[in-house]
Amino acid sequence: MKTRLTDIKINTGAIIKTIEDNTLITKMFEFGLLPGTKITIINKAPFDGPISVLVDDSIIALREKEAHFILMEN
Amino acid sequence: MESKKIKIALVGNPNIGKTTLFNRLCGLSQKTGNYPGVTVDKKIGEFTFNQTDFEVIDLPGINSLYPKSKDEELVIKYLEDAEGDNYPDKIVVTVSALHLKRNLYLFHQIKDLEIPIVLAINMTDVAKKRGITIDEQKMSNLFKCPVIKISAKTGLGLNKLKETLTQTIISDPIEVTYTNVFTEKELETYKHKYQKLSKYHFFLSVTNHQLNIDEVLEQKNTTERKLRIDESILRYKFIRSYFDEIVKVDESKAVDFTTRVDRFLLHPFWGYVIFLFILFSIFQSLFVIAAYPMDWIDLGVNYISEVTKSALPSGYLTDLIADGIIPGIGGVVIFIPQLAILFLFFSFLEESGYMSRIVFLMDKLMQRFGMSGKSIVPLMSSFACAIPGIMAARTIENKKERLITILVSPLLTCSARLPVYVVLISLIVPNEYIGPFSLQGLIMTAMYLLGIITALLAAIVFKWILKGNYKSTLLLEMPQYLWPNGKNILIKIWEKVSSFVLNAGKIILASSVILFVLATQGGEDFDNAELIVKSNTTNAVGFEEKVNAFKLENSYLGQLGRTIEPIIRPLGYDWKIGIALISSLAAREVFVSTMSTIYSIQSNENMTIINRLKKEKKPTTGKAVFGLATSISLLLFYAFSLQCLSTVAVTYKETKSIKWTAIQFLYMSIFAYAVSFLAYQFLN
Repeated sequence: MKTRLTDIKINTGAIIKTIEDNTLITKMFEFGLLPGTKITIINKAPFDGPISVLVDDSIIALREKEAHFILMEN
Repeated sequence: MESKKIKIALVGNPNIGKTTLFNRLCGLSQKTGNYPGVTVDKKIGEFTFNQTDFEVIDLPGINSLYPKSKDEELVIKYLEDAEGDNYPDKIVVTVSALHLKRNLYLFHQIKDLEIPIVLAINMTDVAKKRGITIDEQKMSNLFKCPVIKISAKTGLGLNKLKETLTQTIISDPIEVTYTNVFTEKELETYKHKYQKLSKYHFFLSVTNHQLNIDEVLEQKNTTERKLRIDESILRYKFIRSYFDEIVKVDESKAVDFTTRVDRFLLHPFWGYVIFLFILFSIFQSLFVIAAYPMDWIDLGVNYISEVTKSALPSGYLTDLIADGIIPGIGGVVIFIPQLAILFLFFSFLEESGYMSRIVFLMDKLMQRFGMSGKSIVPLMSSFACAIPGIMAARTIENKKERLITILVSPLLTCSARLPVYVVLISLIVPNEYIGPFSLQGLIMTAMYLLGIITALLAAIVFKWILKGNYKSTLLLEMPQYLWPNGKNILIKIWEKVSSFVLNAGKIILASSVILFVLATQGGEDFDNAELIVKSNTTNAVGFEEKVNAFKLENSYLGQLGRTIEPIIRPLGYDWKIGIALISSLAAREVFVSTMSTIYSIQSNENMTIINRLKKEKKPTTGKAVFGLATSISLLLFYAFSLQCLSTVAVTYKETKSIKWTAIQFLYMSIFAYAVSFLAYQFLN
């Protein structure tokens, strides 16, 4: 089973394993969402809305659809 | 001889206090212009330090040198154009101590452009409190350029920054950290071959698809996209390699405050309650607080007009000033309280970092309406004015979402509608209170809601019409919460209010003068008004007013109004309202000043516009002209029709499409006519 960012619960930290290819991948990298980075989920908007994650010293919001491409270490 | 000014460009990520720094450096000696061809604000300011004159250009905030939006494209073009007029002599890259790792990414990109550069680390005071300590000396040695810790808010380190800018900046290139496909030597060769300013300029022109070197890329077994991805990975790798040595972070303390506040403000239930409460407070204070200064302005303008009339020798010119120009200016000035309150709230939301939380909260919902969470900012700005709203839609990457946002923005209740609403609501709703709420305020809130609901419904229709499968995405940074800077907010309010007053003022003043002239000139009947009225009336009571009324009806303006009367009669409007409709085609707020011009020409008494309208009776039935049916019909007409030339102009500028500009104008006008027609026919 692959663990995706969307599977991680609020308030838990995890390390990015890889990011599957998608249209936003360059932007994700620029925002510091890189393989090997530790991130923490901070909030999830209701009704499958966006997810906010702590990456280094920044909080980044992304949609569930895009968070799906981010694979996490188990 | 005037010495040459040193040109400084301020570059940095969004929300890092770059504007605060700009305001600190230049104070009020700044002006906002436009970049050629696009409607991005270009802010230029000046300051002098130790007899050296500086010109500072504040560039829009960007995240990287790969353009994704119009703003970013512009900055990159600017930094690449060495021949350009405003090409900087020196660059100040501003980064936030709170988001250092991410901001350094952009810094390294700019640094590689090899323009003399100073790195200013902002918010160092807040960072200290949040457990972040930075060793700028180590950074300076590593980056081979000056690094200065500042706090734009308190002014800390600014003298040092200015002093550094006065001297020759020693900034040397560091080793290439952005690619492992090209060697340093290869980059150097290409730089000369394609006559680029730096190795990185060459690299950028390849990855930004300006320079086609497909054969080389093929030979190296890479693509533009791969080069970009590698650049991100390599740059972050580089940043990580030194980061822990220069910055000590007490992790838990650093972002703790923001995440704790977020748990509350982004709560799946309470987050929305708070958001709605904030919206409601804005609307209530708009109506309740702004009402007082607006009354004073209204009375003051009447008073000034009266004094002018008695002080100047009577004649056409005096009338033009007292009844045309002064009420015209009054019609602009009366906006100031509400605009100031609106911009106060907006800049507070933006500066504190809450605006991006609204994007987060509303994204899912907005997608149902064919828009994105990012549409919230343009839509909320449209409550002040659709023009900055439509311009703010530029940050939406997706074309379809952006177009829908632009098309529905003018349906939201802009401040130009407020004076019209205020007058009409005062005519039909008694000034009473239900509990703590003003009844008129509640009706006003209902008008806002009507605007919101209509905009959303229109968005659904457009979503359904515009089929297209554009990929819609959202990836945004949510800045840490900060207490807003009072000076920044004041400067922003001043900037927005003065530009509105100047722009709207020109239109309103011009139309007031034209109206006055048209209302006081006419054909033969107009010139012989006294004789005609005398022969038709036996009663001497109110003779003068009857003459004035007859004159107005037969003036050029009256003739124009009567020509369109058949079209607007089904909506419950007479020819006088018709005149106001025509004149407010340029701008809605002209409605009120037109009404006051029309009625002050007609009557010699001085009273406020609302009392004057209340007194107005239909000549045929003796009923009030502004009865319930007509007033509601007018309210609805102004809620939905696109009576604002500037909006039409800015929609065209932003969409570059005559088709969509026309569609926006027509769908709103037709809808406004239909709804007003139904309302009047039903209520009358």
